[in-house]
Amino acid sequence: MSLGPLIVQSDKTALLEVDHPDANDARHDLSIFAELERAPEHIHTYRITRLGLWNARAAGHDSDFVLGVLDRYAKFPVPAGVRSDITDTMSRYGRLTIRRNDLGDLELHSDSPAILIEASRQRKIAELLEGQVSPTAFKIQPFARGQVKQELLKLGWPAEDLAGYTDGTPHAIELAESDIFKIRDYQKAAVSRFWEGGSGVVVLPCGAGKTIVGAGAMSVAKTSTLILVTNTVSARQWKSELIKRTTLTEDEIGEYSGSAKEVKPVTIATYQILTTKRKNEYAHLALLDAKDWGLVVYDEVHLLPAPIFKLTADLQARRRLGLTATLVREDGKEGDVFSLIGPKRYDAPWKDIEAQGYIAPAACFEVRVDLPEQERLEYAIANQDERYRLAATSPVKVSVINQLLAKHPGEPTLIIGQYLDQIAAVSGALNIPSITGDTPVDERERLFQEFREGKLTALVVSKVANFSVDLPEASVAVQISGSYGSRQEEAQRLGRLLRPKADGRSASFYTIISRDTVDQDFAQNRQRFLAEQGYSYQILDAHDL
Amino acid sequence: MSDLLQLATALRSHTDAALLATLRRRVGLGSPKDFFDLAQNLLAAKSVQPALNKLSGSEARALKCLVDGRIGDANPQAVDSLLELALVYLDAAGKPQVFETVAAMAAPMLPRLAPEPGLETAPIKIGMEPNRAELGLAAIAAFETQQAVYELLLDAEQNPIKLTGKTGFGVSDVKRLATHLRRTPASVRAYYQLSEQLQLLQLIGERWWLTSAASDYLNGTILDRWLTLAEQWVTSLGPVGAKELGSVLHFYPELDLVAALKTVFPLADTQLGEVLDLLAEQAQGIGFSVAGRPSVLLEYCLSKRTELAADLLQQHLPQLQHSLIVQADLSLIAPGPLDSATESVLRQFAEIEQVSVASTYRMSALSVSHGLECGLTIDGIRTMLLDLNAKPLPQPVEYLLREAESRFGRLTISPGPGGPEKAIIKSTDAILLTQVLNDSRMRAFAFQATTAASISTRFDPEVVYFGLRDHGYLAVRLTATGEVLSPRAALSYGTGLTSAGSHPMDNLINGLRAADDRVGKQPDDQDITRQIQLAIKNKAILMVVAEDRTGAEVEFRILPTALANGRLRGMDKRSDVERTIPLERVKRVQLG
Repeated sequence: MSLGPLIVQSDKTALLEVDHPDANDARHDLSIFAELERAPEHIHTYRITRLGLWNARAAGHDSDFVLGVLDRYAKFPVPAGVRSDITDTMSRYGRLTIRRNDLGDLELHSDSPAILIEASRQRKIAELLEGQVSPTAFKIQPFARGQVKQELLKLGWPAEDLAGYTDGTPHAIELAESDIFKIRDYQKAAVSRFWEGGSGVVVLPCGAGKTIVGAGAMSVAKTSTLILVTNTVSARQWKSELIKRTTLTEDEIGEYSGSAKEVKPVTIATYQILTTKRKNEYAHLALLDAKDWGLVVYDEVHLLPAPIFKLTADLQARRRLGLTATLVREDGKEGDVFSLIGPKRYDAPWKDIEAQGYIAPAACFEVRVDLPEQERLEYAIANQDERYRLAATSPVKVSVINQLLAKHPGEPTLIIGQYLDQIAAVSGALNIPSITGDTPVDERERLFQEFREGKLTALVVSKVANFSVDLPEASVAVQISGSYGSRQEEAQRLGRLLRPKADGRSASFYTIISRDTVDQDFAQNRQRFLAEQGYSYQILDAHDL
Repeated sequence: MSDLLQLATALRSHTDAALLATLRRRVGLGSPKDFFDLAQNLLAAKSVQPALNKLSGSEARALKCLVDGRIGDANPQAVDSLLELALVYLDAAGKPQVFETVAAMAAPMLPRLAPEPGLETAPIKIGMEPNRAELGLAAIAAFETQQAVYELLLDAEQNPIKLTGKTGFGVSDVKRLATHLRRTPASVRAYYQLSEQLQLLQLIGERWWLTSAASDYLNGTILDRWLTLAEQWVTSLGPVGAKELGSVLHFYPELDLVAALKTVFPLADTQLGEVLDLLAEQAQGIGFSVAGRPSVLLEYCLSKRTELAADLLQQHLPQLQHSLIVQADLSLIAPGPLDSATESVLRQFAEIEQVSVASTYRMSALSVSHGLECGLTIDGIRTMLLDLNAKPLPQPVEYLLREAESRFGRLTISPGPGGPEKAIIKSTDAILLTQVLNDSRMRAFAFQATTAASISTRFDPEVVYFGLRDHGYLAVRLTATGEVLSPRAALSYGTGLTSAGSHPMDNLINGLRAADDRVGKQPDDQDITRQIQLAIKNKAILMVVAEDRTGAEVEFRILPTALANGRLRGMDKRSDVERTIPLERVKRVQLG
């Protein structure tokens, strides 16, 4: 047994010692069948999941390969239970397949009538089937392809999907690579993994160029594409980026939002417009059938609203690409994303992308401030549900913001908060413009543009700036309050700073928290995701700044 | 003489060691007050049937010989085992006889036996050469099992585990440990059963407590713990069963362990079948089998070469590491098992997050405070971490240590005078006390402000301590004299169980002997009545010593028929007349 970099545990996690000489090789091989769960500075945690093993099987690797990799790098013998589990799990792949019959209907096939019966008797699967057509096949309801696959996954009998995808209306799209722009290796890998898998989610850090991955997928698919985004600003950013990086022209890209209703070969729509109801009906559902879409891209897929799940269920026959930096939800419903879009096809640790220079290095700081006596007393006697707001919006944070601004003179700085009255107070106290949900879109764009151009060096923003806002030169963020313990929000806010800067400088992310309050407790939870990505927080006392 | 009297007499005459051997091999002991109770319980179907089911082939064949009256054909070693099991007894002539009750229950089962000459006498050979891959797997399994039991005991130390349900262990306790160990609830139940078998846990009242054996287990090395597991597993087969298993493995090397066990225990019913499955599962966990196939470690242990097995295992156990990876997110990862002493200290100031070959721990303000309460110092903690980490500590860790030190003891709990002030919570920070007082999550404690610097509650300090900590308050318990009370000192291995000889079985035996002494020297009325009732029930003859009118003691040999209105009625077997003796005149009785 080698003294390798990997420790495989009975719960099918594997700890990788990053500083070991063989770590890189191990990581490369592991990524074929194991999912990276956490990547703090010294020990990365992988999890060997059934889905990961089946994906590996689908890619042509068998259990001997997987066990060979583990044995090669493991520091201690791989537990017997893990070995048998891997063998058993991988042997289940391919026993069930989804195909189309001559009439184009979807069917569930198996080489084993017993397995087929077992599957068809599960209530949730039975509801999705339309009757047995032969001893080895059941018909699947047209809308249920994705759900059948998901339920079979849960049952432990993954179905190999051989039914293919609708090509959609062909449309020529190429990447416009040049001396200035080339698709990066990890972006290519992401596109390739997505395409091989048919549908799925790509997870890349903020600033790593997920839009390019979307563009890359479009250039491979060469088909009419529907892109769903979070807001109008984001829609316009997508449009601008596609025009810059692909052969698409302005005439080929339509915006479908509150302010425009253009349906073109590439159409960018907001989630909001799709879920808008008039007289209790979804008023813009027809967009989904407006064209024979061959590819649907879901930007910031972690934010997918629940109605969209149902609305876009009909798109199961089309390739679906989800893009996000943070596939974590405090409600734990990541599984729903996999169910509708597809499994995670590509994931890269933030620090790896940073090491390659594609995102800016960032230092994170937690600045602890003491509440004044009077505020402490108010906090102490407040109701539990009032405590966070009291602590998070303490006026004592304003002086800390001032000190931090003085620490970074002239650096483009975002001050980010949750509460509108706090934002207004800080904006007024420091004489810095603010952007909230109430700010008209044109005004937002004007302020963002001035910020980009350096005419403004600071903005106070609400959660509208959490995502999809491209401010490449922002290098300092001061978070003063947030959505309680949201890890995703924390990561997205750091993400605003991660575009590589023209002068190569690092970014600084400060979060000001009130000591010994729930603000501190929530901060601990918020920081978890970033800590797992290798971003450690230095803790500072406000009075030491 | 009836079975009951026969057995009670036999048990009474056993040495403590022999009695212990019997008690260990039987179930359904109940809570006997005296040897009669014990005999009664041991002759009950729910005790005899499992014992019969668990007979090895040679024991079963020996029993059949005795039942058939072919004493000479019975294997002597098997007969000794049957005697130890209290399924047979030695008659006045010193010949083994089967209890009638046992014979009746065994009658339908014994015809199933097929003769298998030769197996009992086959020597046990050590088979194939140790296979490195197999030993590696066995070693990992063994490591994980001893670690799981270790964690179970620590969990039982810190969380009162109540007797719940049929299995004795409640769903919430099982789930908590399953989450902690990242194992299934079924595996955890098996660990609880194993701990009970190993007598590391015992039931007192409605709660499971650690025994003194648990203390030894916790303080032992990995190998010591494995030896405990291995020896118990072999012992649970019975002396003949263990030998037979070795023979079966020798003669039938192609059998997997479950099949081998079923061959050794031919009378196994469905319930015992489950027990055998559990044994096989335990064997896998101990490294006695790999993928169901018996391992060389099992062969060594069955042939009483346990030290050889231990040496072999030692070579393949994950080597102890003296390093820890300290990360900025306050997690500590041991890239391999730590030595017991280091682990023990680490557990005082860091909580374990994942238990495995490479365990993960996490520091927090609460865990560091716990360490300080246990008597550690911040400098000591820092020194240890620096030594293990071999590089400077991440800033958040340094910050945490500094802050924990500066805040230690800010909130204290002391025992109060009692009543509504059973616990007094103090702090120099009045606002902190106000916060506790107003914390809606702590409403159940009904805190009352007593002074500007203290609040009180009617709950025990220990309860308040854990309640405050559960809600994130860094509370410290103090003694009445103001010294920090270590949370470790508050834990006990059961009331009054820390002295030597406090093994649960020892307690039982001592109790039986004491009852016997009482009956013998100064029988109280309750005992006399009970013995008379037993004699009536079993149609047994009693030696009755009673006072006559002059106060002299007279002995009668009575077959009692009734006990009513304070009088004993029965047939005097010497003079063949019916006698009626007032109970108040009876000084003592003895079952004849």
